[in-house]
Amino acid sequence: MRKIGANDHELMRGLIREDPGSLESIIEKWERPLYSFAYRYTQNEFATREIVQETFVRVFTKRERYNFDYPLSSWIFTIAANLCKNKARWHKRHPEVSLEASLGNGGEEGERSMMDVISSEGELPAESIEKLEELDMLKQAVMGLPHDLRTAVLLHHYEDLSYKEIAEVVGCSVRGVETRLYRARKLLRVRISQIAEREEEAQKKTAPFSSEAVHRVFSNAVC
Amino acid sequence: MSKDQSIDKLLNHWKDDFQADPYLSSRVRSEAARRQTIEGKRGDSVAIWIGNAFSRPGLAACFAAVFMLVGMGVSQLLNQGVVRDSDELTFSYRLSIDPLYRLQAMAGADEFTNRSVVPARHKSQEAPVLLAGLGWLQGQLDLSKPQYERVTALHGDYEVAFDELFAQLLESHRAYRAFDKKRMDSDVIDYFQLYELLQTQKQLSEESARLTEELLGKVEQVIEPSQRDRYRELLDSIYPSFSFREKKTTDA
Repeated sequence: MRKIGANDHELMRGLIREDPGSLESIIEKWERPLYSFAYRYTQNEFATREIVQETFVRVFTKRERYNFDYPLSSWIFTIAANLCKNKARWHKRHPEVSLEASLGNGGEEGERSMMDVISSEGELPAESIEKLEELDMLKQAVMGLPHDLRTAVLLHHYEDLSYKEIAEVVGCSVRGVETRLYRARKLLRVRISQIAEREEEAQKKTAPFSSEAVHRVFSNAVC
Repeated sequence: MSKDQSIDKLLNHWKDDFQADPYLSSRVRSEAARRQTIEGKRGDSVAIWIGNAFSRPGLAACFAAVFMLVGMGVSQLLNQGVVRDSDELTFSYRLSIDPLYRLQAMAGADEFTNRSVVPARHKSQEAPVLLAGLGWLQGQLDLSKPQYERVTALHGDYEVAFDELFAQLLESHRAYRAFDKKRMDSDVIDYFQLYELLQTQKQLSEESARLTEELLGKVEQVIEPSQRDRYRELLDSIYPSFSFREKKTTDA
């Protein structure tokens, strides 16, 4: 878990004084958490790199405006979450097919990616495929969450932010964070089961066609 | 395993392939520097431009003159638009309350000369919409709701009378035209018929003027003294010779 609090404030004071290496220290500490959050939010490597860089640019250029009453985590994730939201809005208006996203049919969001396949090496194929399918469903379900629920669940689960810190990022009360996390989990469960049902139906529809096609190809080859 | 735990377990399986970007800090610094430069240049260039302009009195005076002329032009255009709108509404209202004026505007009748009718500047092929005229009057006089209701009721009382009078005027106008055509063709004048036609015209135009004045007088009684000046101003623009007199009113 990250150390939060006084150390962050020291780093920010150093950045404001323009101490050599202060920016590098902040980047060293926050690059990974920011990447982790933005990557799961956008599910796009390129967009993630852009968001991480832009977050640090804003921290650097607006360092004078930093409010020492709040933890740095709240500020830094507020910037990142807003950038993620803007990016998602932009992608909605300008849809594109990610080279990284899909190995499956049609290139839809949440399909199995090359990165997932590579990272699952070493496991038994059946287990690995099952896990990948579950993970795909989870990713699709996360992408379907509204901004504040997605932000709350990602910050809580992966970044270990306290309810108070999440409340500051999302702009609600601590009780509001609890409600959002509850709603996010519930929505994730519902969506995952919906996706699973949909995929099951799709498999049922395509299976006879595929076997028929294989049979036809095979008989042609024999002839 | 609870439902939440199964979701948490699934979330735990989602790994990312983070690799630190070795050039991130240098890119952040250069991007921040670039933005600061752009902002500085933007501020500088505006300041330099203003400074240059005002360091030369001749140039500054030229700019001031151009801005003033543009401003005057724009205000003139806006003013013309307002005047045009107001003019059209005045026309519409007058068509509603003045059958003789309506005849002139719609049928081009110019033989009814026994009353000082300001010639219609517009021509209309359609019957006036009283509601539009009332809306205009409401806007001009800033009538309260009860006042507006009373004024509307008054106009409503006269509406049928005005329409009937307009129909009679139109009929008289057509008869006069037919008489004129006959006179031109035959070169013979039936003076008795002409006398009758002119008498009818006189009677109808007087009736039209009387009804219009009666209605306007009644409207003036409904409005407050503070609205009266504006009302008279409006009537002056429509009927320059119009004066409020205590008249014996008739049931329209």
